[in-house]
Amino acid sequence: MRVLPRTRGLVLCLSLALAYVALWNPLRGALTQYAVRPAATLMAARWERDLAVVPTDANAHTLHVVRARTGERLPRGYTAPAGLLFVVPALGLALLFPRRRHWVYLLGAHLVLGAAALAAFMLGMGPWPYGLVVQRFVETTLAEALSLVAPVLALAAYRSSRDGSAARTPSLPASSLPASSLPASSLPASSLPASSLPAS
Amino acid sequence: MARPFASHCGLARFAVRMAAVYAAWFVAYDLFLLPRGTLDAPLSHFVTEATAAVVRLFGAEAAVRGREVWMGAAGVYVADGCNGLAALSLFVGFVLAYPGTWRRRAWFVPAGLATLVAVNVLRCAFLLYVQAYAPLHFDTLHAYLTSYVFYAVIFALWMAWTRVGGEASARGPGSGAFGAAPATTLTAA
Repeated sequence: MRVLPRTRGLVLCLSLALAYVALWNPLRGALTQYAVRPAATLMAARWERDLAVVPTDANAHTLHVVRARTGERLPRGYTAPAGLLFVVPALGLALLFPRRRHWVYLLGAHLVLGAAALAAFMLGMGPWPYGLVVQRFVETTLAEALSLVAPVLALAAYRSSRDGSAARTPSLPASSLPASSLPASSLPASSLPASSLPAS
Repeated sequence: MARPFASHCGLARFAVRMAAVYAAWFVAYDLFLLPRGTLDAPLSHFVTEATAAVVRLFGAEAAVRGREVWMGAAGVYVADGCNGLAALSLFVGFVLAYPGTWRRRAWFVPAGLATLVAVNVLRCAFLLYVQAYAPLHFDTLHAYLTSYVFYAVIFALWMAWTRVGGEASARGPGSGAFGAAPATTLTAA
């Protein structure tokens, strides 16, 4: 049975949203509370730092760094990767490019950044205080830039491909245009340019 | 229009350049500019004054006290993280890293910065109205909605830059962060 491209995009979008809410988000919370928090506490104790981590009231995906002795809250913390900053652009990419795996690469890139941020956070709680600064840079600036730049590059690549195709066939009626001049969601994967995101 | 990046190598160069621009800005800002308030203080004061002007434009009374802007008994404080500086650096980093001609950057960057500052002023004015008329919703709107407004504007500006960057896009690349700390909500005076 032939599935309409728009339908495919919508189904993928809904599946992603469902998977995020039902699986990934609870997993992020559990990992933060049952893996990151004890590990960070252990690092602080091992290196005799006057630091501790406490959960926030708002959600399970975030930890605050506090002074262990006084409880004073520091302007530092940890947030689990691939949260809203991932899912919002991922849904957009899945909707616009259902046949491409852009959202998978975006997830991979977020997880890589998340691993880097976690390593820096552990170092910051332990032997290298500047690790907390590096972690903040990765977790905020780089993650935000990644989330914004992925759809921009995907759309720019698609647009350049479409413009190129249209320029090659200027005299043809719309009905005879090649597939690459059709909306993104109706394109087969092979008609898109060597993507700005890594190809599969 | 040329394909933005013909190879993974070009994409990697772009990514490295972009990360380098952000890292340089992060270090300069965190170590030098933020502690001295060199940029934050004047920008915050400008945003405060402009917010009051926008509120007055809509016929309401607004008063400015330092970085606070008041509308009757409701006020907001434009903190360092709320003046939009992080969004400005986020925007500039991409424009510097993505292929384009310097001549076009020379007008696009100031135009983009002006747009973002204007959006931030409108955001602050909106939050002031929320604080005055629906204070229960302030935290939610401040934390999520207004942040995503910034993201949407930056996204639109970046998309525009991929169009107007210029023919250098075809040959290869030429040359912040939005961590909006909560605008501290003042309690009723």
